[in-house]
Amino acid sequence: MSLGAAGTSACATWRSLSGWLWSREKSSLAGVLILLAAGCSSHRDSGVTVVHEEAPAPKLASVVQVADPAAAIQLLQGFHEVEQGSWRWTQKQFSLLLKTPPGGARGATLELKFALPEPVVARLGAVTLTASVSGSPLGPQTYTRPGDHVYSRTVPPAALAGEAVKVEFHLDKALPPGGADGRELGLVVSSVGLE
Amino acid sequence: MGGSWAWWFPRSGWSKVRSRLAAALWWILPPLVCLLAFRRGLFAWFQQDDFSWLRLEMRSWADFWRLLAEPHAQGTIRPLSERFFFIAWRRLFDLNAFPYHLLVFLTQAANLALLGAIARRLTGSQPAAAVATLAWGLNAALVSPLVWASAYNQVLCTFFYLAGFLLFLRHLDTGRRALYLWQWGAFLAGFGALETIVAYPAVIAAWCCLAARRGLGKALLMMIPAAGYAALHLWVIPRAAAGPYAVHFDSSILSTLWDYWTRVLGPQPLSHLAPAPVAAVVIALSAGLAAAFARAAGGARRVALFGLAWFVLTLAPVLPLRDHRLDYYVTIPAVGLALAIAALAGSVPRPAAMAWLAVYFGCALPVIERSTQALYRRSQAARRLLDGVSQIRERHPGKTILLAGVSDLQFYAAIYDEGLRTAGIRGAYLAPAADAISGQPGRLPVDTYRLPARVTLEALDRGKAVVYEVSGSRFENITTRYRILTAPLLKPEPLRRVNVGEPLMAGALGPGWYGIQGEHRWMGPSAEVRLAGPRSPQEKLRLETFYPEHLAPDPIRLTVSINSVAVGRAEIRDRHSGVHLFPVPASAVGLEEITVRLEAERTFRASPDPRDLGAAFGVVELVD
Repeated sequence: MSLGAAGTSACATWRSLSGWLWSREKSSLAGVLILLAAGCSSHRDSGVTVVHEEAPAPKLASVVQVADPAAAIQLLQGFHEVEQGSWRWTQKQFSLLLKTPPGGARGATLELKFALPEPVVARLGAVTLTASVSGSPLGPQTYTRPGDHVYSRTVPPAALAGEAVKVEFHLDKALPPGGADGRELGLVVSSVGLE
Repeated sequence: MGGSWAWWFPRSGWSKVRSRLAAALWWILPPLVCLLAFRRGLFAWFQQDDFSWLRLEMRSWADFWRLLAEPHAQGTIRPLSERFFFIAWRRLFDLNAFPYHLLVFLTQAANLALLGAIARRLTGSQPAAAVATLAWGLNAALVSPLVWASAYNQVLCTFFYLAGFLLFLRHLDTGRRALYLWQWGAFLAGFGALETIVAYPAVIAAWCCLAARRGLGKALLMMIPAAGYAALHLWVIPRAAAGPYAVHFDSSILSTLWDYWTRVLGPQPLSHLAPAPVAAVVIALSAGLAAAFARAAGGARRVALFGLAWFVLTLAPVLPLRDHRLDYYVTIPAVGLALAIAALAGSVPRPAAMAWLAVYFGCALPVIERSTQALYRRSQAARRLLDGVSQIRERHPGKTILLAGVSDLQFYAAIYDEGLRTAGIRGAYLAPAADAISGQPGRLPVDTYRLPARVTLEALDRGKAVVYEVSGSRFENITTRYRILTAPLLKPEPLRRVNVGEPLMAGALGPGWYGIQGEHRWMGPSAEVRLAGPRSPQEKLRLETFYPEHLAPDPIRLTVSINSVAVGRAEIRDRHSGVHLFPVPASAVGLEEITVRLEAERTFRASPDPRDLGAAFGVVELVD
């Protein structure tokens, strides 16, 4: 067979094959071509909602009553639920965000008001509390007796840059989860503030 | 075969019209059912790897030919199914996904018609052809190929397999040489779709051995280009020594074969239920096939044997990939299983055949439904993310966009493979400390896509960034909330990764850099970058440079030092030699900050640009 004849024959074959397929699939093909037109002409909505306007900015406080619902956005980590409307248990480590007080450029005083319950002291003995503001460590304090306490430390101006600062507390020990309470328990905190 | 199928399709008493109608339904219904089962694929969007292919940009015809032929991911060369498909469709339809998926479905419709014709030719029965079409068209292995545009190579290669084989059969029937030549064309075109076409000559040789010995010589002749291609592939594409693409020619091939057998029979994706039922189903289905084979007459046996040979031969190229097993690798092998099922179904009592098919489809259909839905949802997640960020970019054209709350699904569907860049969105990053995206083994760290804390803080202070929280399809501007509540928690540490072409990272650059051009910067004779100190001696310094092909300079050579300690030299001679790794000196480990100094061996000028050019960057970073 010459090359030309082979080509002619190949074309005829292709026509017969395509005709064979077309005769069976033409209805489907017409359908998908309509879909193609629809797909090319319409741009379906992806259903995205973009809210460009900002909600009112949250107001941060320099002094936080930890049971105040408005203060919840400032509690970052390590606080349990509010109890009796006035305090929260903490874990061994806990942290929160405090607004830099006016005049922070001159430094400030960090105050943590808390209670050390009798069962904690009975089981753990003396408890040492340390803190840091924006990563700057403050001095530790050891508590040996149960009752109300205030941890108070001077914060250097260098640690008070920005609109708000992260305050982190760390206990050397805490009651592990177990028994009737599945939570890790450290201190009973009522307020934290920079003044 | 025809007689044994009489109970499927009793002819006596049918009128001519009804007979024609029934015949048409035998042809049209099975493909329609198959395509309907994967209907979501037609309306899916893009995801993951799709974005890499969509970024292939043709600037000139020379570029076009290079893009078609250049090896890409894992050294694959698939000019038709990946390069041409994505380049041409992107130019024609941009990011309108429907025409991409429509082409996939049209090709699949052709595949189903071709398979029906082949099965009818082999079994002599129209109902058997319908069973073959359904058995392949409703196999769970087809989910990715029909929903994920990147897997079109499987669908297109199947087309070349089926078209070639049907032409070969007709050539054997009629003796027409033109059919044989067309068959050669389909075979050779298959190399543009997928490497597994290399097994095609073996497949038709298997048929010749079983049923048409006179065609064996012609089949063996086709092994010459297949062997040549295989040799070229092994020679040109470096073989991975380790990792998922490493090949293992050992007993693991048998376990891989068994794994794919379970996948092709359907229950594998249901294995989260329990391993025992999966094994039981596979054994029961396999035993059913074996029993049917034992009862089958000679013709049906031949076709069944050929189907099994098709399965093994077309799977053979991926069997050595012990650690890289994918469901869609059985797309083409599943054709063989479908032919075997079609041949054997007529050899057993009707209730037994119906029961077997009920189990087979009962395993496949729930997987198809669930998996197509999952892939469809992932594609829509990518679409919504890119759509939302596009709207943010329109609103804030000059600002860096920080995204908070991005989910794993959104990240890996759209961001990881640079969907944002594909959609023409630059300057959008993940916000620091604002999501819980998990890293995945073998992938880049998530932080590669995150703006560093120090740069974020500076950008927020200078009002150069906006922060949007992503929650499903809702995007909300939370810039002030982020600045007040999250920014104080960020530690402004020195950068571990400096994108030299990012304006916000200019603070980490020392002297010696020119202004930003597009996504990169040129250095002069020397330049410096400040990075965080390495945390361990195992870390490496990684440089990512660009080779300016349009300028085609002589190889660019750089000397690299860290804190004045020379760590090595880099030579950038083409677009493939732009990434270099260097050890870090022990003296730099643990330091707060280090200075990376880059010195060009020589500079060049690109008239009329009067600058002395050293090298174009890129990224300078520390990697584990």
